[in-house]
Amino acid sequence: MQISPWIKNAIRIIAFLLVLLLAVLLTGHYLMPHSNRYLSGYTAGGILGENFDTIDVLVMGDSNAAQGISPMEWYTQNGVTGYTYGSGWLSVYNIYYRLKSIYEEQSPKVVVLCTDTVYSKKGNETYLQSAIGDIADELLPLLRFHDNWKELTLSNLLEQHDYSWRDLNKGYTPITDVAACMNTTYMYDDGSGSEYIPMEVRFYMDRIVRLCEEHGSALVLVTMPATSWNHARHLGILEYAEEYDLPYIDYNLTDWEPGIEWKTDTPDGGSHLNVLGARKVTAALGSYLMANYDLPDHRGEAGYEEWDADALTYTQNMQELVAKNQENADYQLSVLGESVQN
Amino acid sequence: MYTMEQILKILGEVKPGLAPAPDEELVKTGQLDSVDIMALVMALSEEFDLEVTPLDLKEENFHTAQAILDLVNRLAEE
Amino acid sequence: MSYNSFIYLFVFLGVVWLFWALLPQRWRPAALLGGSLVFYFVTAHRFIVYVLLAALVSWGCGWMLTRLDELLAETRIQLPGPPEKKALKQKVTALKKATVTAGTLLLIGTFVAVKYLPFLARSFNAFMDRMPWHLTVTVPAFVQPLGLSFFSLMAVSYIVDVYRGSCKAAPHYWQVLLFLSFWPHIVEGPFDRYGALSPTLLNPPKPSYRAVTFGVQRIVWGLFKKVVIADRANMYVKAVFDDWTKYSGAAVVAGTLLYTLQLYAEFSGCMDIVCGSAQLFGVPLAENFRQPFFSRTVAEFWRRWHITLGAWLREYLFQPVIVSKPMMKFGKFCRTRFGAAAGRNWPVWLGLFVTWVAIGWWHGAGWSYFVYGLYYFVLIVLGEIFEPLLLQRMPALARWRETPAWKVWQMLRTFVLVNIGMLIFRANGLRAVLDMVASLRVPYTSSLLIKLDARDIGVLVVGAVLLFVVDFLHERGHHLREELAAKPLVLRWAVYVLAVLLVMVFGAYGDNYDPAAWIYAQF
Repeated sequence: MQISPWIKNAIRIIAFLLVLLLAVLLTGHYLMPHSNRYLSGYTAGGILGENFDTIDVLVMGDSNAAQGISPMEWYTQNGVTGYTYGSGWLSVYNIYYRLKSIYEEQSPKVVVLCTDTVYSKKGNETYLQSAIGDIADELLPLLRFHDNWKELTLSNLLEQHDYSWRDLNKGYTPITDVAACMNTTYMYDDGSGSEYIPMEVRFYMDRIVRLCEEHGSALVLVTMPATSWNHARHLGILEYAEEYDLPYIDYNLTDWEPGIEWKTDTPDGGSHLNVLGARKVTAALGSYLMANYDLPDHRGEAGYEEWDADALTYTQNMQELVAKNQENADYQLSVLGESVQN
Repeated sequence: MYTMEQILKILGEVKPGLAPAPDEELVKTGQLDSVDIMALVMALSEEFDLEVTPLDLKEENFHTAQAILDLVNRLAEE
Repeated sequence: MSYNSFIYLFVFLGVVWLFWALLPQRWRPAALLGGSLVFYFVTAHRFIVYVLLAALVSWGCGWMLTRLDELLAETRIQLPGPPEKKALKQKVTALKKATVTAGTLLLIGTFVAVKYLPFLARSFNAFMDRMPWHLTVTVPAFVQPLGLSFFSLMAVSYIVDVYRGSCKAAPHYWQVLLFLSFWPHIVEGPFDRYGALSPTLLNPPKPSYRAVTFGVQRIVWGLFKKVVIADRANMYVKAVFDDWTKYSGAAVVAGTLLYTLQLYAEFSGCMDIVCGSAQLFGVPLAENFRQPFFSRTVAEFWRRWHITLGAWLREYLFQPVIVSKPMMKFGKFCRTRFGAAAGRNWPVWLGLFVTWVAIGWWHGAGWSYFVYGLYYFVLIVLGEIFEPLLLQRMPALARWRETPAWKVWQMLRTFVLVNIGMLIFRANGLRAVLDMVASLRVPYTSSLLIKLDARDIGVLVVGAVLLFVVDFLHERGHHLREELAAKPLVLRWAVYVLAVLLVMVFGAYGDNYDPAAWIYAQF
């Protein structure tokens, strides 16, 4: 039988692409970090170290979430287990794929999606570019972890990956610095209407909504306090929430006001929260969740011994951190007071 | 009609030490670069009172001493 | 749409290629034209008007020139005698000259107005400031459309080539438009010639497996140069040149060497990507590089580096200027006053001066680009003056010059001179050039690992060595892709897979790096 050269070439190209794909996947595997500690920014990767189906509240977001929501507070108060999966510049595309893989091990009753991720985008990229970049990163681990070749040595190359590291703070990263933000008018309505959610972002938000539905998780939209937020964006998310009948809490608005004091509760002039701010938002979100969802108290329950032990250490650590943060806050206030007098 | 001797004499003046055979390749071997060729054009047009136009400045008109001689003779007739 | 973006490589090229391959032969140029217009419109939006107009002007001039020739031929045979024929020919020649001048002035005028007007006005005002009378001019600042420096000059070359008779005018507007807007060469060149490109562009060869594989291989090699080498070196270079007062001695040397590496890897890498892209469609673009770092003189360097820019300036500026009437007169004047050598050399040097200033300023409106051109002009003229003198004094030199050791010495010398040129080229203004050169004497005591760690430097060194080896093999006349294609399948595929993996793993992309936009696209 005579095969036409066109078909022969097509077969050759496809065979080569398969070999290439295999090589890319294999290389990607060896470039994955050796511990889940380094899988993602902050301590998001620690969720892989948790026992299966133990997390009831899952917070998905970027750095605002990682520095703003401390699930261990809920455990110490109500025995509710939570985890903050937050990492710098995490986009809705990242979140969709990460959530999908978390569902393989966990079945949270509530998923909290932090909305800062909807409009955040690295400066010089278009929305389409950042979508392609992030999605490619998620599909091909080689792209996401390519720079890990710097960590490889001959001896650790073939070492087994150990993904059992657990985070005491459950994804939360406490910051005790204080740098006041004087802009308290960022949420004023400038009459510009609602900010449009880009098509690509919307498409992936829809996928997240469906994913949560399929797994029977309640989805809550939450906006963390940050001065990069504004009224137009609030309206944009509000419209989306109404369209899909999702609860939406914006902690930048007085209706939900957790009591953020911008002079003392931010480590960087309003971009993120420090320990003082995080405790207020965590408490506010916690009471909303307890009031609206049926979340079990796991304290003292078999299988949660590690949580009980972690909670003790956490409480001790937190006392020190709060004291330190308070000290910095007092100093900041005294500096501000002086400058007012002068 | 001009002669090869005249061409070779001018070549030697423009590029001291250059004394090629009539059919020796000059451009591809790097013995004449574009700057040398322009100096040669100035010398030729002065010596033989020629009018050289940009159209004549093709590599094939300068790549051997013979080609240069042919060019000069052709331009002198016009 | 950047040449190293996902969308260009995987979506744009793929879609255009499929259209091109599936269309019948006579419609294939339409796929190329459509692709080119989409590419330009997506990247530069409304500025596409500039390209459309430049094509219109050059096509119009080409049509006019051909029409005039036809008129001459038709009318001439009907005329009674030689005097009338001569008069007609003179008239037609004058009209043709007027056409070519008008077209060129229009294109160059737009180019200068958009690119240089603010700079000219600034320089004029600065000059007037020092004068007793005060006069300031204000000019509109235009946004420079993508690729203006390339398609304007290619449009001029088309008109002049038609005028000189070295290529035939295009009968249809879209043909010139395709030539000028062809996406592989509109952003960073090469400067192609209509006569050389139009046969394959307008009547493309059949889609071929070999052309596709060779094209893709060249694109991957170009990506390696850009993503692995140039973007990595960029971080070091940017730190040293943007904050030059913080660095001295070895750090400045390293920054300069890395800039040379970056610019070479990036520009030749871009040429590999665009030539590879065009090769997918069977179109052979002009080559812009021929192993420049094996040059023995700076003049030779410029014949091997950005070849098509040098060729353009030589054919459309340097040579016409020298054989122009005023220059011939200047030659005569020099000859009568200063002797035969001056008569033939000085006009050439004047022409060189004009050309080098043009090369400098082509890269951008600014005094440091002027000095950059001047630097090479001075080096080349010094060479022209001292070479004969040196040969007179040391007759033995003629023999030494043919020894390998002397050749290596010449290459090293040229390499150093080129690096000084690169320092002038990249430094943040003339003040910074002087500061950085002066700081060379001050030892640099901090760590030389600036913005990059030791492993990054390792990648750069290995990358540079690889670049050198490939250039060396090309210099020895090897055709690497052909030779590799003749090897057994396993070896071949291993090399290809490895090449792709190297780009993906060692590429300087992602959160830890700060890649640069294509440099030459800004000129």
